[in-house]
Amino acid sequence: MGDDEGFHEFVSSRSPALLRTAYLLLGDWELAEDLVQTALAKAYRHWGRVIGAGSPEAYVRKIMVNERRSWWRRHRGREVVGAVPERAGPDESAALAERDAVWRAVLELPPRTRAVLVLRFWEDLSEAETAETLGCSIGTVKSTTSRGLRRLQQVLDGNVLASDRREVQE
Amino acid sequence: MRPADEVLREVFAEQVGGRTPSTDMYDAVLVRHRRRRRRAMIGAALAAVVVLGGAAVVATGVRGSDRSLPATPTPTRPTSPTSCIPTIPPGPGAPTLPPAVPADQLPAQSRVRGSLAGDQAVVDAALVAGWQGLRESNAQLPAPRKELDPATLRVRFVERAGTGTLALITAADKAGSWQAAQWVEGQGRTLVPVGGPSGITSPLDFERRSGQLFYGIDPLYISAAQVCGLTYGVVLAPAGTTAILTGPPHVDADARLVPPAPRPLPLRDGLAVFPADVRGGPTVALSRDGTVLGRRALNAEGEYASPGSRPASPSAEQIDAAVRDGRGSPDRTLVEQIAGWAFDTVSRSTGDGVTGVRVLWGGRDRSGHPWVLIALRLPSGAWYVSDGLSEQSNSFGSTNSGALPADRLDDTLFVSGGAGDVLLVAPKAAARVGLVLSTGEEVPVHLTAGGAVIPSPNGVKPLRARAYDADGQVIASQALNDGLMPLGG
Repeated sequence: MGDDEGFHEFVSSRSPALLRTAYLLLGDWELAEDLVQTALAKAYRHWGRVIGAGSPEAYVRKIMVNERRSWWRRHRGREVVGAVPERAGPDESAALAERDAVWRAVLELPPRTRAVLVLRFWEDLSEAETAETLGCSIGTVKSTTSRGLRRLQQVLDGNVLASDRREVQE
Repeated sequence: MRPADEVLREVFAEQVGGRTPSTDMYDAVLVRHRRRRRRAMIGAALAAVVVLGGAAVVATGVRGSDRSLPATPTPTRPTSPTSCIPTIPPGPGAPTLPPAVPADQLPAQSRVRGSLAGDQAVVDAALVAGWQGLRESNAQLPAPRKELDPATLRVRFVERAGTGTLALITAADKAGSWQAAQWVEGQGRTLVPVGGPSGITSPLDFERRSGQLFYGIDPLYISAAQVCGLTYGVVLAPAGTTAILTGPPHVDADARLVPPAPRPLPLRDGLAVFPADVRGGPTVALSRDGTVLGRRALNAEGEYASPGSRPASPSAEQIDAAVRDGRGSPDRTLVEQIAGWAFDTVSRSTGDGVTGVRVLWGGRDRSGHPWVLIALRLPSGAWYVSDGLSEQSNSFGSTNSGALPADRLDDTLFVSGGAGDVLLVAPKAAARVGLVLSTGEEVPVHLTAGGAVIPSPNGVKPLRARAYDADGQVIASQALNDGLMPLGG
């Protein structure tokens, strides 16, 4: 058992950010909460060692990324009922349509590609940090980033063609 | 055109907004931790039987003394498959609570929405069931718990949903910092709590800060719920709001993604509970005075049953038949995996179901890994085609997938792969096939049962493949990993 107080503080301060990352990985808020709770529970069991390693958030994020596929598959039949409205704002139909199309395309990306894009462009991790999180080479991160962005650019350009192997299960 | 990474950052930020965990994450983690320890102890003791105690807690209506509430029948588990009274899964650690609080001891309700709001017995039954569900959920949290205040109980709406009844009940904790919500459903006045929609359990402060009005006097809420096995969209909106429902796209017979046509969603007193096919993520936009108040998908991702047609991934029997009828030597496990993935993709991207499955070819690469090409038939007659290669026992990948017009399945040349191996599946009329290299050289391919997996010549991925008929005429020409229309765009 670890340092409860430190763990409580970590959860309070970092769980919102972890939740958002989990959502971008999974595309579902309820599953995202499950994923974060799972990752935190795993971290809690070894909290002393996690703290000792120096970067608990990176540790939890790594668990999340590596668990995401099994979570999605395990829960894909469940009902999802939670959805709070987006914040109010002016109607920008064209821009919304563009962003909707990109988000749909993100949801269709292979899990590893989506994870790379989330870590690079949401978490703002470096290529080396992303590679460390995913357990792959920097070259793989580069090529995966390139493929993912190319696919999204095709969506933006209205020219979508399949070209790359999709990892649909890991 | 803006670069993709710039748009992507915007999309990510827009998607997550200011969202925070809907539950107390620390409490939830501790609950998981204790459950795991409990399971581990049970396992260590080699318990032969695990008794899932905690019989379903049901809402028992009690005649109110001052409102002449008729006795509410005690809900029971369904006695027939058509019953709309849902079962409540027993929680392994669910504490036993005292009987439900009588309705007359709970706060009187006003501003209840929905066509059944005028039926006091139904409102009371919803109130009792909702409060029982909220207490039950709250009691499972570890101490110290946030104690819910019954004085804050609100029945948000009670509405007919097909032959059933759906209601939403909320309550805040005594500190006024947290709210929880509870779905209640059933038939007539027999209502039971069916689990808290945890996704809408939120700190009040967050709701206030973010301008989300669900917990205010004028709620703003878009969601989906299941009643009697069917899915219903739920919209709660302030007065004067207009709602636009935009369905998912569909794939037409020419494999084109047909965009949805937005249509007005009538609100009655700011409420709509409507049968919804939530595949493909239909969205609801709420506007007032030209300003969009909220816009959400009825579900972001996941699968639901839909009214009238229950989409299902290809059945074991369909897979068996497809494998049996497929050309080559398809690996059944891989066919099932890739068909399931393709079905997920279709369901997530469109409003289409799947009406059939075919295996176009199956074989193995040089290392003995199975490689298949399958096609799912869509309602328009178009196909969703995908190859699948399993290089490890627990994984599979797809190089080329997308939609194909209805009449093109048997005359299309499929060529997938890269610098390693290449999968070719020829049109039925093909007599021979060749791979065209970047040098212009064409390498003949020996087909087995109309398909082949071969090493890329010289380790370089080919440009395209050509298929010829018996007279040597080109009947199909296809670039590598091309010819299919992905649904993501």
